[in-house]
Amino acid sequence: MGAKVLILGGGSGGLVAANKLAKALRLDRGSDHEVTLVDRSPYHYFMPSFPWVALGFKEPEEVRRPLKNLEKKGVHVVQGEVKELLLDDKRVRVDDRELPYDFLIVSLGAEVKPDLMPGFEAAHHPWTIEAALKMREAVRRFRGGRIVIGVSGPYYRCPPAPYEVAGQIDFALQARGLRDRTEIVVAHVHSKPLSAMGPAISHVVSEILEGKGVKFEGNFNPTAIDPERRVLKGDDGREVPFDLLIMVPPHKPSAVARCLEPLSPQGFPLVDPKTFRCVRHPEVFAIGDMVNPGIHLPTAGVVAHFQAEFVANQIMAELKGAYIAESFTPVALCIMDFGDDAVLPMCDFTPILDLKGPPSCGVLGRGKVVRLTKMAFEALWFSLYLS
Amino acid sequence: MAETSAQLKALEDPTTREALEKGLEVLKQLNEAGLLDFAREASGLAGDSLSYLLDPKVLKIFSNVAYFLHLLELLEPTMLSVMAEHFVRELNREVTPELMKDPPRLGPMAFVRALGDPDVQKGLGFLFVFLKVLGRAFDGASKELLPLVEEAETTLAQLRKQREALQRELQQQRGRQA
Repeated sequence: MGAKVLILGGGSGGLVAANKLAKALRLDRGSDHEVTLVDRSPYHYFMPSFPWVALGFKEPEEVRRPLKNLEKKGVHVVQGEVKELLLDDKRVRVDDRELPYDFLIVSLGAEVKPDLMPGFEAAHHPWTIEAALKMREAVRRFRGGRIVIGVSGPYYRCPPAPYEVAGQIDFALQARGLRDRTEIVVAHVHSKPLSAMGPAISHVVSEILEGKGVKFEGNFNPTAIDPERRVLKGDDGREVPFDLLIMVPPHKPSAVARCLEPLSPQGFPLVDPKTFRCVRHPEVFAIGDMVNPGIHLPTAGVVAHFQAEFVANQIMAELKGAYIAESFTPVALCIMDFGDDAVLPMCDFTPILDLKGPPSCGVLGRGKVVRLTKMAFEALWFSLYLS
Repeated sequence: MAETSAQLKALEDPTTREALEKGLEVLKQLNEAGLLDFAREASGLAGDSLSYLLDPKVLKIFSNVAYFLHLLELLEPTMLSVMAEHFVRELNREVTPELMKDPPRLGPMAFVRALGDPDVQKGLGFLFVFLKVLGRAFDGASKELLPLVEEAETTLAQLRKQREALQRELQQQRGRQA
């Protein structure tokens, strides 16, 4: 009898794991093994394109594909809400049914929790597709003033995205002739733009933002938004006034995944950093934004991607006795699109995983051609994993 | 149905037929050369190749090459080209085969005398400007990097503690399973 592999989450991690296992297990040619992917949405969304949706460059249907396309590869797709992990019984409760597993890959990501920031109703953001469309409307109504792009805390999906949004808004307002009447400010918890990715990347991003006249308010830890006075309040008494606020909402690890103990001080499940297996349940793997802040890896789709490949390989090794494939590549890349300029930064997190030093970061490319790479990558992603 | 009949009608068009015939000919040649088989096999590798291509060592090489190219972009070409041209011209004039056979040797006295040469003085002055720039660059880099190193050490110390606790728990778990 074959094994049942259950994958929770149809984001980057879940999608790559499903594809990898489908191919390795030859599911399309008939196999005893079963791979099932569960997601609350019928679609996989290419999240790096959400700012493009918010700024009118893409429509929602262009940045998503049906997860059902995986069924052509032999993967079962279940649309439903993951309610509970019944780890001792090797089952997962999805809505009102229970799905059994031999191996479980949990890739549920981090949850967006706007309610955790008082006054968040006054803010807009492109961190979900629905919110991106609302932000588009807010930008459309904007006629000049002060736009503030802020972050709620240090943990959120895609750390470079707020800077991209600032650059893209500058570009969009230039086209509408509103840039002269607009001040753009980025308020961030870091001391300098992308300082967590080292000086090489920080310098390039700072230079681009300065060139665009985008101001930076550093070391700003927001505590609340005052919708009436239209100010963003910081924990040190600073207040940042705004006419339009674009704010990364607070992110928390997925609620159902919190049973994967032990947890880091911030509440992220702590997995074995060499294998991404859960400590108390080695048949359970947890990857992506749901665990990465706890092991000091970035919350980026590319990291979840490589973790998914590595985890799929470990499952294959258990099923076959041996399976020689990719090891985990601890690198993160992100194509940062600023509208009329773009940067491709990269970081190698090997020193962090080996506890030897900070990540080694650099810039792989800059210019409009890099923007083209982002467009091409979206097309490549869909054709490789959801065609 | 209507779509199919429109497609069949399109086949009657001589330009479409010619394009199809050429296309089929290309496909036939590719097949005979074995390239279609290769493409079929290689297409399966596309999804797997990403993590091989994104090897940290390869990325570091690309990043350094990109950075050096960026530095070249920053250099002012007029000044650099005029300076380089004169430098090479002077070098060609001074460094002759005779000089290579018997290069001048400078003792302490000749060294002091050479310092009196106005050209050597200019060269030395230029060299000292370089040294000053180098010192300032070192200063700037230290100021920027040292806080980062200290910050990284604090994070790593926390991570080490966390990792030790995790290792203990993992060992206990393995003990229980054994």
